[in-house]
Amino acid sequence: MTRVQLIGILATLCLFMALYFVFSYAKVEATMLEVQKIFYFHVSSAFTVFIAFGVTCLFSILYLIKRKDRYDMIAVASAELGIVFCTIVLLTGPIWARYAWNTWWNWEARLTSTLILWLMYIAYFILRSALAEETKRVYSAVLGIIAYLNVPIVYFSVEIWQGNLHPSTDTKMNLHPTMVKAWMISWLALSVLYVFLLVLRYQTERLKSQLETIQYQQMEKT
Amino acid sequence: MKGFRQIIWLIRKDLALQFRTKDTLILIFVFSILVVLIFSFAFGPIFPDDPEDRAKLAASVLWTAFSFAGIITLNRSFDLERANGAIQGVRLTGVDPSNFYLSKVISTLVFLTMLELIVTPIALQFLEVLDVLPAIVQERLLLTLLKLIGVLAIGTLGFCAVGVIVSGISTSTHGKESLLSVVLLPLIFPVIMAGAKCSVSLLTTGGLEGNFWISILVVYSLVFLASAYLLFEFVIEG
Amino acid sequence: MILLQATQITKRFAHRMVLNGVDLDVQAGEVVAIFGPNGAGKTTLIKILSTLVKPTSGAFQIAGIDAIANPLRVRSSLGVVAHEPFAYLEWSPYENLKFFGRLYGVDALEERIADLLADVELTPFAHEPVRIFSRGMTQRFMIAKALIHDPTLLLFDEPFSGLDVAAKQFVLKLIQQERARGKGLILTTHDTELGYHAASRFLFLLDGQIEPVAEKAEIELTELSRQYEQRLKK
Repeated sequence: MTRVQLIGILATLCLFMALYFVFSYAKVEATMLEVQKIFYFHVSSAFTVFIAFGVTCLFSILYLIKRKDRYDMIAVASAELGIVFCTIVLLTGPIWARYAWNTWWNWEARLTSTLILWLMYIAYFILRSALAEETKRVYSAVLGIIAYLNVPIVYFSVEIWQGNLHPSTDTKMNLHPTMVKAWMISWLALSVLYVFLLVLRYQTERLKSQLETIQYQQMEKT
Repeated sequence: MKGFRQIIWLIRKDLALQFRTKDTLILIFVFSILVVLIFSFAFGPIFPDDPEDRAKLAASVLWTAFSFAGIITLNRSFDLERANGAIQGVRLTGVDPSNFYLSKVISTLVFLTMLELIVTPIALQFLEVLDVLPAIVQERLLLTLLKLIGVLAIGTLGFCAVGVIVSGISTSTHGKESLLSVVLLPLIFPVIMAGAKCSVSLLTTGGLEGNFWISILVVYSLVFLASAYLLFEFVIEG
Repeated sequence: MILLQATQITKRFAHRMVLNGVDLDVQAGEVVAIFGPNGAGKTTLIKILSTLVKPTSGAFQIAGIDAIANPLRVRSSLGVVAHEPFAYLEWSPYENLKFFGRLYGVDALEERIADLLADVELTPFAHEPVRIFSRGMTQRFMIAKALIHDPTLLLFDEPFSGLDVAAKQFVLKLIQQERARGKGLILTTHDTELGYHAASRFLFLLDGQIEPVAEKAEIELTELSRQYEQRLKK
């Protein structure tokens, strides 16, 4: 049993545990009923997004200093996962909005900022695909750092641009204890899932690189 | 000291080449006016009567037009460097890449600010804002316009701080001009938001009292000037 | 005096090994000609030696300074003529030389520009945009630009390509002039005759490696050409 498989099993267990906690254990919220339960995955995903893009920024910096290809691979893998979780936030947000405020999208601050974030990192991938091999890693590392520096500025700017319709973080304090537990478990589950997928994705990148080297060596021989 | 002189010469080179074929200045000028006109006509049916709403519209139009003009300018600027390997010639003189970055930011800032200086009054007239400005503003019109240009300049500084380094990494590919837009626009949202807010404040009250959006513009510029200054070496030298 | 010393330079592009352990040195006053077919890596080698591109591995010093760790410091000792002009073609030779001269920090610049333009016989065209020049004129401009700061080491990548006979002779003359001034020069070419007349030492670049051939005194042109053709066939 490899380390990766262990993490995978752990992730699966955590996810099932989270499902139980969210759907069985946590009290059903009074006004929004079952739909409120989106909140657990929505917020947890959001936190994971910041971690994922933070990892990208960190490994971009490391890559620029040390120039080890594997740092870039981790950065890319993490950025990809960041986009996945960001997409989850952007999809679950409107579902909540539809039931809470009767609209699919209302330019509420946090969701708008997350959309901008999503666009910044989609651009990261568009840039990568447009660049030649030699400059791809260096240039996307630069963008990975610049984009992350912009994250707090964007969130702050949009927050004061809009009035805040988003359920404020204070409501966390007013949550029923079962809800708090459910929320923490779901955050844990998504974090473990993120780590698992990150390792998988990184390994895929590495294998791809090794495969290309072997393929090329074969070509040289003929 | 040598570095400082090199920056000056690089700025002079940029301005000379941008203005030489007056092509570029005229092109970007006409483009900006066209954007303003398109907005005027596109908003025709719902053109607001309320002065404050009109000021908001004008602010949006100005910042949009200048963002797009800025992108075109940056694209051309870097195309010029890459054509015939000119940038390699500059590299060979031993210029510090970070100084090259500064020179590009300053020359692009100067160019765009001059553009804004000319286009803003014209745009405000086309959008029929100048006539409906509240009395407080009318009395100090020139001063308010100057402050507006000032705000535009600080916003443009932030735009250039990020724009120059992003152009450095996005224009290395051939025939992909839109790549710069896709990468840069999400990054400059804070500038547009803050800039627009400041502009509306100036046009409706003649001042920036209680408006802390200007600090966002300043913080943004500082953060990205500093980080891009450090990172630019990797863009030029790989 | 050793101007350049390169040890085991390698360069890999994606998965292709273009240079596979290049050793090279150049003394002041000598002209080294590197012969190689297209795709041998001549341009890559020049790009690396001019510090514009970093090698995958290996080391080299220019005038004793580590050129990989301190590229900015050694560049003022280098003059490079490559395939692209490395200049602003909307400008005239005068404007280009003035601009680059200022960046290099050249003293008595006006005089130097005048002298250089006279040397390369471009004085009548000093104020015409380089973009309208013929291939031969552009090449002469590129050489003037490479010399503006009086570098000790010159790197010329295929300086004869695309030129007519008169232009080739002119470039040859310029190379010999710089050699007489005590400069070191590396040039790459696949023209054995011109390379023979220009250089004092010959090398082959084949399969990503340098093979020393001979000094000028030791070998005749015909023999050099014969050896080159033979090596190419292998």
